[in-house]
Amino acid sequence: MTIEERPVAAALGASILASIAFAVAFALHAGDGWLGATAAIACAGICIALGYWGLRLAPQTQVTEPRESFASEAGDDVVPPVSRGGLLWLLGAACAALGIAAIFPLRSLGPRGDAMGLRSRWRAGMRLVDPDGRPLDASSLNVDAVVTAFPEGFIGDEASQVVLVRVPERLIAYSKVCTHAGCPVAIYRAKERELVCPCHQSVFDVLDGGRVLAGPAPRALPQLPINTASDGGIVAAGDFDARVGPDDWDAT
Amino acid sequence: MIARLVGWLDARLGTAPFVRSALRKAFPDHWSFALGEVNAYCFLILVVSGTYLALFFDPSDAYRSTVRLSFEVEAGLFVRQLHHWTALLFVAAILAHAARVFFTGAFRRPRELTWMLGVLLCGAAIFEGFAGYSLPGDLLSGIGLRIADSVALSIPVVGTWVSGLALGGAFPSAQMLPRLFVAHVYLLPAAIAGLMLAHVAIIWRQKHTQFRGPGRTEANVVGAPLFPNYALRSFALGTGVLAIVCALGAIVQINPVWTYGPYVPWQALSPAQPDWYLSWLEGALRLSPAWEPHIFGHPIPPVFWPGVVLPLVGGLIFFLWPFLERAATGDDREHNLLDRPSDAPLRTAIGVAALTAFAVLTAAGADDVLSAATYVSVFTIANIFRVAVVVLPLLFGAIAYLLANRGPRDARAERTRIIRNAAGGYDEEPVA
Repeated sequence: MTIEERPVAAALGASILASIAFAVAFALHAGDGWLGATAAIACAGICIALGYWGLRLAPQTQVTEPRESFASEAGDDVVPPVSRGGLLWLLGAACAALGIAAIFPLRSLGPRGDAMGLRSRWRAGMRLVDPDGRPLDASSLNVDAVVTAFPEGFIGDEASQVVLVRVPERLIAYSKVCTHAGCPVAIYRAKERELVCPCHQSVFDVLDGGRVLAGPAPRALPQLPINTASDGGIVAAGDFDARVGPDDWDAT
Repeated sequence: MIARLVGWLDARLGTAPFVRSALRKAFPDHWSFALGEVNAYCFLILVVSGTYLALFFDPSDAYRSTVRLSFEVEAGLFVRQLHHWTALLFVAAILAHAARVFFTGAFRRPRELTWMLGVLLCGAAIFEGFAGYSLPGDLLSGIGLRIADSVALSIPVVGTWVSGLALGGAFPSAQMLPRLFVAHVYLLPAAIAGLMLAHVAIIWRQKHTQFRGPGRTEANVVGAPLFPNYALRSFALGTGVLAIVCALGAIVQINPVWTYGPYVPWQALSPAQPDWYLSWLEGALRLSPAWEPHIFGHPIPPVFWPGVVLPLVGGLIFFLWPFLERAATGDDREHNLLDRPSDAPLRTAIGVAALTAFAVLTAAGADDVLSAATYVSVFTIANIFRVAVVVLPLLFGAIAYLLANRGPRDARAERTRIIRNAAGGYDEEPVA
């Protein structure tokens, strides 16, 4: 080994040791940090060795290649003339028909029947429960308390989720699905009595029917009419006053 | 030993003439030509590490299997973090490579096809990255998917069909993650591999571009031979990339899904950001106005413009750029010698303006983070970005144009060589 080869040999030696260390680290359950660090050193050793070899040891030759031009003078008669042009058209039509027929099974990817779009489950008389299924109690909510509620029996239902806010003298329930891009409207600013969507910062006025105060949401949050039942529980007085979630072409 | 193997193959396949010329293939020397190679190495690392992960991941039990492969599988967390870091680097290297090709005019005839394949690769890589980080079924990525579904739903006429066919039902459907898994481990990697193969095959056939320099003309290509010089350097680059992502995967935590929790529709995170290459679209969603026009009674939701029109129109301009520039300049000649950015001031200005707009929108995607860091209202920050996204691209584009116009233009400048003669004086002679 010559002197000038030594750096390469040293780097390759370090790489070999690091690879052995990787295997040992794995066998000893040393953890992902050790695995990654030893793997990084093993790769870096080879990287340094090859880099030094390529840039310092190997003769720095330059080659010059001529470039060919691809423009052919005989370009016109590359494709031999095809007879039976009528059949060619028919072949094209057959392939097109097969292609169109093959599109139909794609329909199976979609939902069956009429299951597209968000559909609220709320009906008059349905009880509001929290995400754990416990019925909500009007008297247990202090001013500026905010809870997520679902219709009893439909916990976790995307389209039916409601954010229930206690303001002085009143309980107000809005759809928790932002009318902009469908994120849950999960931030409540108590001082301003505003609901804010954490995704794109649309702001809704809790005291004014969920009106949009700022941000990219195009519509107010749908409001759920609610009543207090005789036992202190909270029940829906009907469905939302507007379509839930972001609009699409079919939302008319 | 290598020589014996080549001889063995040659006796059976007649490969010697090809191997001989291939090993002497000229690779022009410039550091920026290595950016494309970084992509190839990243893709290789992604395929290998992704295959390992796929053996432990279960898309029908996405969140739990992600946590399990992170904590219970030896080396699982390391490989998962390495995979994620490589994906971020992959898209970054694609963008850097595209910028190099753009600003040097390497996309011009005869390389329009290579450029278009590259833009498709860029799009496929972004989709692949989004599909990948959405797979774990965690709260952060679940909200990202919710937004993506709202964007799909916003497409006029066919939006509900696109969403329904993709998800098999209303969001969040049970088939959502299994289908995304098929796209992530099969459809998109196959597309990327195919596009990359075609991209590289065309480069091989047409030979590389090169910067101007002594002995370099439109009709030749001057550089280091593939073997051994360039091969050594290239493998050094590949192992270097691997070393960096190994170190990142080991030391720098990424996407700790167990701190977010599983996706449930009524919870959200704040602040919340997508992976960096989608932040520009997230920023555009945040900055766009709450404008919802109606056509024949059907709404066009506000997410349609930033979520569908912006990437589609932007991507189309990107894709067709070689033809747009040709239409503007009327230059249909073959170009194997590269421009410097100062050789085409208007192109440089447009590129700088586009990158500035991209950067501003990317930053706008983190307006909530900026607000938390600066104590400035997030609404004020959004308004500042709304102005900046118009003003800064124009400003930086104009500055780039002025600088480029003043810079060296060796394409047009007359170059001379000064030689001392026998009498002790100096002679000037033009240089080709």
